[in-house]
Amino acid sequence: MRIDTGRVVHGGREALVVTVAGEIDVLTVDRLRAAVAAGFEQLPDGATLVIDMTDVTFLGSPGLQALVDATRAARRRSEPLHIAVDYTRPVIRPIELAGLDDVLALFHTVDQAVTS
Amino acid sequence: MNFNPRWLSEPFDDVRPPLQLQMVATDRNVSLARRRLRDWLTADVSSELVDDLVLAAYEAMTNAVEHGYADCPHGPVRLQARRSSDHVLITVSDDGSWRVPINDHFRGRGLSLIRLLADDVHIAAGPDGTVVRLWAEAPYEGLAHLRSRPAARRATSLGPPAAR
Repeated sequence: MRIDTGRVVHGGREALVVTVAGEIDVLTVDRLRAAVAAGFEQLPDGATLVIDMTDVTFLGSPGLQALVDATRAARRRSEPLHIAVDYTRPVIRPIELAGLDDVLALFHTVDQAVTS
Repeated sequence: MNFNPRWLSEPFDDVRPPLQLQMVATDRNVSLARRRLRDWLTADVSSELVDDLVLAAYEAMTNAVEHGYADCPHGPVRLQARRSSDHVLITVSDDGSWRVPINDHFRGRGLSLIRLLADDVHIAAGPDGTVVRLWAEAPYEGLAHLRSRPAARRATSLGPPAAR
């Protein structure tokens, strides 16, 4: 799994984007959790935290739980957390089967996740 | 109680050699087994079903690691995948005492995913271990080619089959 974080400005809105690529499983999920936690710490006022999952090739229940926990953390902090999934089947399929498509703030593209 | 589905007792006609892996129950081995299963399935299973079955098998193996051997870590986990002309049967087994934690949302989610990802799931849990069987309908398109080629060869050497 590769993961990096960068600042993005799009349509006059600012976001911190955590880009994840590869497989999210028990071995790698802690790196996702750490990157999201660091993202919240670095998040500028008024900016959105975005997790870009469009290059994720495997998402199991450990990763699903990490996304749920991140969404809860965002709600507690009153900061927006948006997740870009595009049409990435290995990501969308487990999210929908787990009934999390109503829980997570999902967007097709990173640009939509930034400006919404 | 676990209802025994009909496919559990019916003969399974393999169209190619099964995948058989036995590993020590660690997260790393389970991740490696997941990739081996993906490669094995990709030969003749649609990519959507490959994704579903790989995820289901992964969740079952992760359960074995996390709950099968809570008291004695590093026991064995076995993964078997079989292919017939219309189904895939995946078996994940361990020798531990697998249990479904009621207050653990994360693992509970894993188990409900398993049930949604395969067409049918059978779980036999006992004091000596747990066997999770995943059953999925999967038309085997490779078989059509295997059948048509020898038939064509026979037709040229022996002539058309006699009319009945």
